[in-house]
Amino acid sequence: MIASFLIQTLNGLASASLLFLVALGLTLIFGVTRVVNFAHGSFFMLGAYMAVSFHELVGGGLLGFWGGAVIAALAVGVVGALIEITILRRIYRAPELLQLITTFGVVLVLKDVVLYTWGPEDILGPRAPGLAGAMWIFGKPIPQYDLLLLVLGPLVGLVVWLLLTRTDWGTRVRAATEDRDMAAALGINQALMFTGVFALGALLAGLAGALALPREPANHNMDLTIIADVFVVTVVGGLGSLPGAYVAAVIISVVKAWCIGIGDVRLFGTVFSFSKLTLVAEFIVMAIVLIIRPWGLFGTPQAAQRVAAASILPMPVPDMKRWWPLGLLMLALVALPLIVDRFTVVLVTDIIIFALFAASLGLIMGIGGMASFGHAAYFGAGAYAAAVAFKAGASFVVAIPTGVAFAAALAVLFGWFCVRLSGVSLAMLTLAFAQITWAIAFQWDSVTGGSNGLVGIWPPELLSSKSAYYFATLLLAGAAILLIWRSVHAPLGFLLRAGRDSRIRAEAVGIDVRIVQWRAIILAGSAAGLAGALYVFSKGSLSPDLLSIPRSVDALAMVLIGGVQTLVGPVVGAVVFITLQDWIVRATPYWHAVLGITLILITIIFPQGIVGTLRQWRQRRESAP
Amino acid sequence: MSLLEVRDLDAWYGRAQILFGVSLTVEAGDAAVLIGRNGAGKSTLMKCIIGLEAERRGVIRFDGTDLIGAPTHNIARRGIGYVPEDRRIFMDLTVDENLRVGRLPLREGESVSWTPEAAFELFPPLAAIRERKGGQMSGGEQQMLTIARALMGNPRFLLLDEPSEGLAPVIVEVIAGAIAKLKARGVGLLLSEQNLHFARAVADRAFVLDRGRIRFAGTLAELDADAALKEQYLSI
Repeated sequence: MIASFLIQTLNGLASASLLFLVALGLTLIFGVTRVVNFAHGSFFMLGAYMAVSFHELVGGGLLGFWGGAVIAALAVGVVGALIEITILRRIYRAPELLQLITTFGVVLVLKDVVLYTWGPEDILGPRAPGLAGAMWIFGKPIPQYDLLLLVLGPLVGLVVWLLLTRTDWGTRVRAATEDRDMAAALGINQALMFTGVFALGALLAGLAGALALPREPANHNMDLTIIADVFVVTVVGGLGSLPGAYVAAVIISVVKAWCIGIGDVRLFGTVFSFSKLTLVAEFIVMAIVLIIRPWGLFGTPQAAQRVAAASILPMPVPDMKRWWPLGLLMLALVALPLIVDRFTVVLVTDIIIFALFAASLGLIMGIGGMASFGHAAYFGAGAYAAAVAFKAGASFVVAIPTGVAFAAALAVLFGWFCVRLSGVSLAMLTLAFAQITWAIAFQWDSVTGGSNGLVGIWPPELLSSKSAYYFATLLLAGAAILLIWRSVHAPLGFLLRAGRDSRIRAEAVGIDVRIVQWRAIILAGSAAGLAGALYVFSKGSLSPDLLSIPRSVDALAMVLIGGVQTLVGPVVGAVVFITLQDWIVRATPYWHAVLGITLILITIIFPQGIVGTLRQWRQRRESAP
Repeated sequence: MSLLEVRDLDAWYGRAQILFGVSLTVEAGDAAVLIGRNGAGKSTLMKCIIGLEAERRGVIRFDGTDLIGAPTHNIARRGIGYVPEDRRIFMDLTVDENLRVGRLPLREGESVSWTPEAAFELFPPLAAIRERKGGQMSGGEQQMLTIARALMGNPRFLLLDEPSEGLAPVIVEVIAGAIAKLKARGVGLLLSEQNLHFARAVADRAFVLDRGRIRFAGTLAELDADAALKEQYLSI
């Protein structure tokens, strides 16, 4: 028993080394540029594929493996530098959420670059020459390569630490991490340093990817799988802390390894499969750390965020004399099925569902100032709960509220943690939550149908035609959107905005900001759950994809494209996004890349979103003499 | 040609205008003081010159080259040192490391470079705490370090934003002495002050700034002679 624990611990430490290298790069980049690089997992993936190609080019042997790792790392560093120069440089002054969306655009582009270059199949990578065997410890075999990795991670960490503390460049990097404007006022060229740091961070991720090859084949899911883990590691360790990154990587990896080691355990007559609970274990570790130290083990408490006055657009009070555009729109929506074909009716049904999804995210993000990178958790939870209830014999009329209630319950749970964080840490936490929800749906075969999902979930006879379901959606989702809009100009909205604009002042006048934010998350979660429940009955089936990271980012993209601090923005964003997506997906197999480039361009050109930018232009014109 | 020339400078934070048509000049080896109440725009003017934060329009010329639109690090490399009001010492770095960050290569035609040792001659207390981190230093030590750090870039011109604010009289004396020595070495100086006594000790020329506009330009003696002006713009 003890021997098996020791073996799993060693195995965990080997995984921790890889995780640490990626997290270290992410933290370095964040420290200096204040950008959380979503594409960091993509650099990891790119490193793996490049090492495979190098190995194929020069053949096996020491040069093939170790040369491949070095070349891949350097190549990824160069790719990182190019991306920094062409894209990131344009967004350093943009709001941090927008930066996340831009770098997610890079994720999508790199995904298709890999698909185009290396094809869709998993590629088995080379084994490390001379280290393919195993060492026997306590009568159990442990791969020699794991032992090497175990040492290599901390070793590279040490090199980076020496670089930061013992060289002029490192000293300047640490200075810029603390106060980049003061560093510039002392003559330090920020642009050059940012490129250098970004390249170094990318290089570390690429190196980790190449070193991961003997343990897993190069595949297309490496990017998002590792980035979710890395986000958990940085939240647990504390953003910006080098030792924190290592300790957190070790804790997470070892706990996961132990879960696998424990395997099936019989407790109170039921069999618990611990090996399937790895992600839940990760969640519990993170939860405990966040309760005790919300800023992470080695992090420092976040200073109350100063929101730049210019970044907040005043929310105009709705002018009831201008009701007629909304009235006209309603009329048009009601008349729609009479005019257009069946296909368009389905598309518009989708748009309405996603408009609700986006509007619910807009409430907590725009009005509440809380970034969520895992809003799909509620959407998917609503969809799954409704589908499971339906499969268990509940009718449509019962299944829909079940979905909403389940999503609300999940929001109660997640929200409790979320209100303890803010900014990018919060964004990473929500992403991790969504990833855990995904894992549960993916692994709990008996209830959720696992990777196959569930099929045959159709609305009752009365709503079976596409137009009838369209009207039902319009009624329910439309009412929910109006409720969200109304809440913005109700006490909940006022308190939320007060907490967003100045937490300290809001608390000083007696507002419990956390409770207000929690309520908003529950309202938004319920609304997203309704959207999910409506979605599953319109499609007739569902799969864990509903909960995946790209789905969360879709919602985020809709909100940001439309304009985060506006009411109509998210809805406009949903219309633009779904229409574009529908069109792009049909036009090209490389739709990820097209979508990614679109996201990058939109975030660079319209930093306030479409509606927000238009409103800013109008205000400028009105205020001009 | 003046070393520093500011002409018709307007500046904004977002949509709020802070400076309105500010003009002033400072010669090499001269020390000028900006006097004004809190919120008059003194710090904003300094930030405009070094190229931080504020949006600016107008002319800022240093040794004949226009600084408007130039990136901050280029402005610093041309020979302007910046000592901000809140000091902005790198808290996680030691005294030595803070100085190392400030180091810049010599410009063409210059031969004498500032070294940490030379800076410690100006500010002797720093020599004893070279390995101490910025976060563990007293306010006076931080103020000395922030001036020393600016000197490492071999500035021909120094912006000092309220260098005497909140310091013990002993430290104020050290700093006044250092400023006098720098002036003697031919460094141009623009400092902002609310404290007229300190201003008299170190500067020869004065500009009175009030709500973003220059209200007076002349010698300190002339300013002292004008009681009405002092009453209107400087008394609290």
